[in-house]
Amino acid sequence: MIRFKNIFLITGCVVALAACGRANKSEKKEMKNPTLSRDSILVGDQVVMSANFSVPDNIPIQVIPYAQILASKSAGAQGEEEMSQDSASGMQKANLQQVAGSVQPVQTPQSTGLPDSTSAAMVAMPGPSQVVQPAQAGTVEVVHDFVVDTLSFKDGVRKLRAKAIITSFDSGYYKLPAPVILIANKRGGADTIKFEDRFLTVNAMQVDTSSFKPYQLGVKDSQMKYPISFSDFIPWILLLLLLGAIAYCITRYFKLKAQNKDFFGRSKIKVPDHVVALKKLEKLRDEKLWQSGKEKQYFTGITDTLREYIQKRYKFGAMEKTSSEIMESLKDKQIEEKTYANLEDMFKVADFVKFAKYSPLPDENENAIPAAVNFVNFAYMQELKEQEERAAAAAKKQADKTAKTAAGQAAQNADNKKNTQKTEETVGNKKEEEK
Amino acid sequence: MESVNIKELNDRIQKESAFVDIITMEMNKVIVGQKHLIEDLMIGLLADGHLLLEGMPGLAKTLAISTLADIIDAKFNRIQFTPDLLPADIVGTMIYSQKSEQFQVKQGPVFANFLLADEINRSPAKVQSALLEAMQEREVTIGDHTYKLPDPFLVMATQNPIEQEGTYPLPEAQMDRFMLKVIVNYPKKDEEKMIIRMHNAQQFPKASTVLKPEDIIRARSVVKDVYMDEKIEKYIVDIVYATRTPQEYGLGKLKNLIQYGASPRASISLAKAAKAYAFIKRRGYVIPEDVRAVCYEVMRHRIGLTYEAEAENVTPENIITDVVNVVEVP
Repeated sequence: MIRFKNIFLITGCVVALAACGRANKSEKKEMKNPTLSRDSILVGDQVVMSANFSVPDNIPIQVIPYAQILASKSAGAQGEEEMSQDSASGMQKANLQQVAGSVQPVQTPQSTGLPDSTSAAMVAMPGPSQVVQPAQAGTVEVVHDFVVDTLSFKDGVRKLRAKAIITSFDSGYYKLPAPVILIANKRGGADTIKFEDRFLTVNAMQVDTSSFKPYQLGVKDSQMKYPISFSDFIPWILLLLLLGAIAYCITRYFKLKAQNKDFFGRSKIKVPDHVVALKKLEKLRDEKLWQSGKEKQYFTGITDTLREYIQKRYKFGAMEKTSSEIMESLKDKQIEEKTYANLEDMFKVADFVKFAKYSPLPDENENAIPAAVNFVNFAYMQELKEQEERAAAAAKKQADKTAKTAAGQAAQNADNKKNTQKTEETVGNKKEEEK
Repeated sequence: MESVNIKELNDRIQKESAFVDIITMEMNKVIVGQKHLIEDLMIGLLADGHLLLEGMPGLAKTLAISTLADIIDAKFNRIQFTPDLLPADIVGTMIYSQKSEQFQVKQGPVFANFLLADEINRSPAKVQSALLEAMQEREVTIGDHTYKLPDPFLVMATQNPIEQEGTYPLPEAQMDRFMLKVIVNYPKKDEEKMIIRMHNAQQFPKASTVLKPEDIIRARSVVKDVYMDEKIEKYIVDIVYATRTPQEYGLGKLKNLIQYGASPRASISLAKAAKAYAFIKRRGYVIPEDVRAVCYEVMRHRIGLTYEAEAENVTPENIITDVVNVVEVP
């Protein structure tokens, strides 16, 4: 049983190593030096530095920030070789060890066939007249530090690309230090994937003095115009969108309000005023207030209900008017004499009860609600009648307008016919004369 | 709930207010038209409040007050306010008597039942303020002694509009002591014709003395008994508060127009005047109409306007109208 197990393990390891070997072999061919998007730039231009590399799956890696590499260069403590396998800081390695854990099978660069400094391809070298300056923090600046992307994953090997954006504001010929990428090894330490250094030419802006024209004040189009980019329009586009949204909301609000709907298009159910008033009066009757000695509350409820209804129905501030002022305002509303008299009596009794501690007779209590209900019913019927009259008047007006238009059209047709006949007669006469 | 017999209360009012008709009749003998003025004079008389009459010269302000004094058999004094008047000319002073070789108190014209302060704004503020103690405390201090004024004591002042030349505006403290400020307007055409006829007649009519001060004091006690419901009290407070904090009553536009609102004295005066008005209308209880009927006279001189309001020609009457139109009637 144990033998079988050992055989199985050994076979597994051999297969795994073979797979890694295949992968490394293929990587060896594809492995490149770090590339620059441009070898020569103007001051302030940006260059993309990318480094492709492959690692077996599940092997932790760490890309040393390029800004750190440049900083170490500017410190001058160590040369280009410092960022090699041996000089990679213990802290970085310790970090990597933590990340790697103890169970991850790792391979050394040699075993995986990853490039080292000696096996890297030759890069563009400076000409004899150019003085090579070491790139340092301050001379070369990192705009965006290394970010690792996975290019592909095949046979347990990840193909990765680390990209950084750098720039320089000082002209010169710079030797850019190679990126440093650490991978965990099986000993619990870290190995370095090493790349070649690159050279970058930073040129100063060429001033064309032959075609230079000084800016002339007051001369149209003499001022330099900067190119307009899309980002210049973004605030204006956002503002336009915002204004459009506000305009849409306002339009929608008023449109739906006119249709008696809320903002979301839901219909508002409006209970008619007379129904509200009648319901309140019914509630007051059901509460049996005057029977329990609460006459003041009873009459206050009735008068308040009526005043609210009158305010809505006849469109005047009944809530801010006294009883006599309300009755005065209702005089010209063509209210039936009996209804008006009953309402007036009811208001008088209510005033007595409310302001004179008057205890009304049972009849007066009983008659108060019917008088109020009669008034509300009368006012509602009157409203319906007014609506019908208005509709009839509108229909009549429309009919008159239509009839008038039709009559006008008929008269026009008759005139046209007359003119045609006249023309025909004239033509006929002419023809006869010619004959 | 304590019940009030309306019939009984009204009967009592009918009986006690009979003199209202007599006063009106006697006043109408002398004063043509100006019903509003006569009504306000009676409100002041019944509510124990001082009156300030404002109007252009020749509108029978002084005549109305002197006629009212004639109708009531009470001591009546008149002070013509002039720019050189002194406070001692009103309240009195200490005079050295050579006969008794002592200082004697010489009481001023303020010691009367009815005091007519004619053209009160023709004197400077120091003279006007001599009336402050008399009007509020019903007493006057001369030297070391304080003297009670007779009861009833009523100050009826007249003034010309302050825009007129040679006038001094009344201090706010004194204005507030007047219960009512009545604006006297020009008579109508027919009324003016009647006035001409009266003056062309052989003898100018004169009011008869038909009442005693005791009648007024008794009537005042009845006025105090006029019932005022809590709802009316709330209504009065709402009206007064709306002049102080108009924004709380949906009158934000008035906030910058009002420098200061009506004082608590306005609430007291409004309640008293409304009761007196209800009494005149032969009612034993106050209704909102009574409050509305007197609120202009009670509050117009108690609302301070800002420069902004004056620039926009806003008057206290405009403010009161807005307030009354907004405050909910009980």
